Amino acid sequence: MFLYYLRLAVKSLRATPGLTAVTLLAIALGIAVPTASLSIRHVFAQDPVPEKSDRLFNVRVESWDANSDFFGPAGEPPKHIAYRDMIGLRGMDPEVPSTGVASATIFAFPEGREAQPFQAGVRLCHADFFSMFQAPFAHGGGWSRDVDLSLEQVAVLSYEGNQRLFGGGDSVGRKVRLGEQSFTVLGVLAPWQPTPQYYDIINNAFGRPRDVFLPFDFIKDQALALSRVGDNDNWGPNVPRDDPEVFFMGTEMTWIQFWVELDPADRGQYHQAVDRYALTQKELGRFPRDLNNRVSPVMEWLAIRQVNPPGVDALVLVSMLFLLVCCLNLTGLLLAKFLAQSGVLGVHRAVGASKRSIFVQRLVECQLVASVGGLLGALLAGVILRVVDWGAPDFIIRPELFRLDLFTLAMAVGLALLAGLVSGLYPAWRACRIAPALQLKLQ
Amino acid sequence: MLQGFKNVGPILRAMMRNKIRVFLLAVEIAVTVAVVLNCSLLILQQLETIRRPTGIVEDELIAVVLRPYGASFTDAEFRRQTVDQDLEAIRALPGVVAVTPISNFPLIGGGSALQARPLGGDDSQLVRAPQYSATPGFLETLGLDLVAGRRLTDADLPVGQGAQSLNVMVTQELADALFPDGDALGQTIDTGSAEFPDVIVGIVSPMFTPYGGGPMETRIMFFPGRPSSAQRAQYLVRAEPGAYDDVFRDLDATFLKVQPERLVTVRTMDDIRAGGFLQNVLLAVLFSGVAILLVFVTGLGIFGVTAFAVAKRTKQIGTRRALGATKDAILSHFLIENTLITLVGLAVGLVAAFGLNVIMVSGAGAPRLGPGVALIGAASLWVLVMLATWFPARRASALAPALATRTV
Amino acid sequence: MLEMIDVVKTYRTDMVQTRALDHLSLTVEAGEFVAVSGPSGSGKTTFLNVTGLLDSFDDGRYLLDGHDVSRLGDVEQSAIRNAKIGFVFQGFNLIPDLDVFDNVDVPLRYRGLPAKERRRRIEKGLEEVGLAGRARHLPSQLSGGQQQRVAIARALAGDPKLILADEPTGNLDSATAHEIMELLQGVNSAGTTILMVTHDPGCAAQAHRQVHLMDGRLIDIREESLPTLNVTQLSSAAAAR
Repeated sequence: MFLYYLRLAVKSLRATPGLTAVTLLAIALGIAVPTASLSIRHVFAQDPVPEKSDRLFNVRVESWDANSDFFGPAGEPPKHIAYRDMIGLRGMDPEVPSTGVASATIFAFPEGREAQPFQAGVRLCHADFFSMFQAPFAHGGGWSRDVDLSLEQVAVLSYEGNQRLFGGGDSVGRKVRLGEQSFTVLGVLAPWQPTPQYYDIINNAFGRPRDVFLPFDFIKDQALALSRVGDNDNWGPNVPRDDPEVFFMGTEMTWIQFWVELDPADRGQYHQAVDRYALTQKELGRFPRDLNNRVSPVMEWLAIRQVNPPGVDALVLVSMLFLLVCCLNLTGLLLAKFLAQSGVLGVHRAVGASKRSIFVQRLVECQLVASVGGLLGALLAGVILRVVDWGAPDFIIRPELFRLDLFTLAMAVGLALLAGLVSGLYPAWRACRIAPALQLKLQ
Repeated sequence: MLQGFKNVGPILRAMMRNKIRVFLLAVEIAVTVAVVLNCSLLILQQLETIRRPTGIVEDELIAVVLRPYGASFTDAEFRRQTVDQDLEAIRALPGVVAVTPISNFPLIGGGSALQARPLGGDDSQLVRAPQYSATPGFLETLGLDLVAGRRLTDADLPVGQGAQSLNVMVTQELADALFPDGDALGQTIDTGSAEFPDVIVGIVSPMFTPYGGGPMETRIMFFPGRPSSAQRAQYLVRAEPGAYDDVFRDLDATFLKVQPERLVTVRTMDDIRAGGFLQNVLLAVLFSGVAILLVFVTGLGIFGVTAFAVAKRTKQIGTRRALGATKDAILSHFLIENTLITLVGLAVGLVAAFGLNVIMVSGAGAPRLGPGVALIGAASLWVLVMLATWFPARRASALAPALATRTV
Repeated sequence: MLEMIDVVKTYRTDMVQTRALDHLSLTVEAGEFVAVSGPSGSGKTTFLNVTGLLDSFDDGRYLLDGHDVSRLGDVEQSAIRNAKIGFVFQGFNLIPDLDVFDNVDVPLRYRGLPAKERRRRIEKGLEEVGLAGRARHLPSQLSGGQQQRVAIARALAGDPKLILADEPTGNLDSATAHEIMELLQGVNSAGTTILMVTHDPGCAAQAHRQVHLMDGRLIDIREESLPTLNVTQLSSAAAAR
């Protein structure tokens, strides 16, 4: 019966091509706008690592100046931690998987004489980084925990870095020249881009991944001379920079995002351990402010960083009202159409269609027009996202960040079916209530 | 049309018999006016930020980023000399007005900021300010004017590498924030290390750079310096408007002639700005898009429903014409009908607009909705409805009276 | 076949109350061909709507094919319309977007018959009305008489016990009207009961029995139970009245 209703719906829609076109346009636009804005919001607000976002925790300690508040949101400790606190937290008992996250740059020299050197983005991290954040290896693997201390000259390349340095392929075992030194490639990642890039939400939330992953402590290698980049906050006394070891262990400059992996049940216990660490620092004369440390799971951390700009939520609200207007339009158009077809409905009723089957029939017609309109809307949303993507500069928003994906498509079709149902209910109800007796003489 | 208003009574009674159609259109208009008004506010707010005068001659500026890879750049003295040679070479280019190395580009949406206070002042006097380090030519390069005090000269440039006290220039806003009594000139300030206080020797004309919002965006401090590290140096070049393209083209070669072992990236200030105002532009474009589409869809809806009403009432209209109604009377019938519906929609919509505004103000930091914007919005929407009604109503008025006698 | 006892139907608007059927009683036997006549406003249409279960009534009883159908819900009534009643209208009432085949198909679909059975019935129906070759034409491509034949085919396809015809020849010229009446005669002789509303005495005369409706009552019932009745005789009798 459903197929028959579908056929009747097609015939009915083709009988009024002008009205059907207007209806489709109304739905397509009504779907495209909220779909596009929900997709944009999804990019900003989605859980980048749903399978373990409750097991990964960003850790911050209150190390700021006694005399002034940190300039972030009131009551929050500094958004990074200092190098010496990273060392302190990593040295706590019991040991948990942990990694610092920071950025640097250095000149990389691709193989071949003609190739120009380029400034490579360096991701500083620890051995646990790759397993904690589920970095997918195409070839080889990461380094072991010993390397974090021994600083063997090894590196992991991102997919992009491997393309730039070697033009792709299995580069495990090859040498890459960074600055004046040579590093052995241990592993090459498959394309990997969590959105948002939560492990470095402060400096690279939506940008391209860094080219090279190096053991964190190479930042202290004076001969390599990595150039530290990215946001940092400092309040403390001037520490001479000549000797990196002295500088990093002495400065109160906060610049490292620090992550641990925990069983969610152990969060409180770990927090207490962080507090105990803070107390030992107070004894050393640091941490002048009250205890105010944070162990925040991924989504909490992203919310604190306001990854989702407030304007985007307003956009979603406005888009939903836009959809509402389109639904009202749709109701008006369908109502006009169904009432104009009352003669035909009367005939169907006379030859034995029950009210219920007329109602279902009309809803099928609404859903048909809504599905087609929804698909058109999805395409249109794809175009809108393309335009937004094209308009945003590549160095902040990587290309292809906003695009028509399965999420967008499912959203569009879902919204369309819902809109078709909501808009169609009243017209269908009116249609099935058309009394056959009164209409039979009209044609 | 005016004459037609005498017939409001029957039109109103006829409308009451089409309650659902009237209700649908009125709600549609109400939501549209509420949304469009609030979108307009957000768009105006973003535009205000984007088009806010920056105080600098951004149209004449070219931004250059240099990334050295030669080992010689690790030597500070070598870098100092290179800066001087760079400046000399660039100044010699025809069409160049001024040039300066600069620690960060303005308008980029961030940069480097410090906290300053009068020397010996307490924490309540701390003022946060974006800071730039540049050679004395920065004033002419950016196109800023000296308001009070004196310019920086080469004699103010730091000596050697270590921390030292410096003479600085600030904007009037920063001077007033640090010294509310207006006596900033010649005062000593603590910009992070009390052992090396700095002295305000000059005040520059107003400048604005986006920095995530707040008053610090106009509180700006300039240090004398030759910012250049082993990894990176940045220059701003001001070109004569007529020679902009030539200078832009020649910069790359000129820098490499001084020192070849570095990568040169040359960009317009517009490019730099795009980053600073990215979020504002994105939101302005998106909200404009939604508003325009919404107006279009509402117009389409009114057009569709009115066209259908005309089609349904073909015979009725023929009968009216046969009974002596003029074409104008038919036309004004539909215009008045939709005007009445619009009035209902606008009444509800304005209330909704102010309601939605409350949410927008608290949620998205939107500006408050004023009666002026509300009235302009309402009037524009009425014009839209009239336009959308006009075409089907014209068709109705062109129907022949003979239709009355035809059995459909 | 059908039995109405004291059926009352009143229409109310804000101001007026109109009694369209006023204690109407009527019995029609299976296989009969009954013509209902009456002036405009006498309640003919209401009578037909009530008979066809298209409209409800306020009081009285209505037995159709031995079953009381007075108090049935919409689904049951729709099913009875579908299975037992076929409609033929003055305006043909074909669905303009559907071709001839699909128009005849509509009631069969609502009955939920399998595709093969539907096809068989549609083809048989169209053959009976002589339109087997026009299955894929749209109603607008057919003449009035052909359209009415399609409507009859549609009414017959469901194998109804009762055909309700409302001025079936009202929109047709006399020659075509004659053909349609012959068709209906043939249907009736095959055993289907026909109840026909008409104001054309010529048509009415072809029925076995004529009833006259006036102000919602059947005021004049003539028993003409002779199946071999002479046609001219009947029409002159009607004219004399």
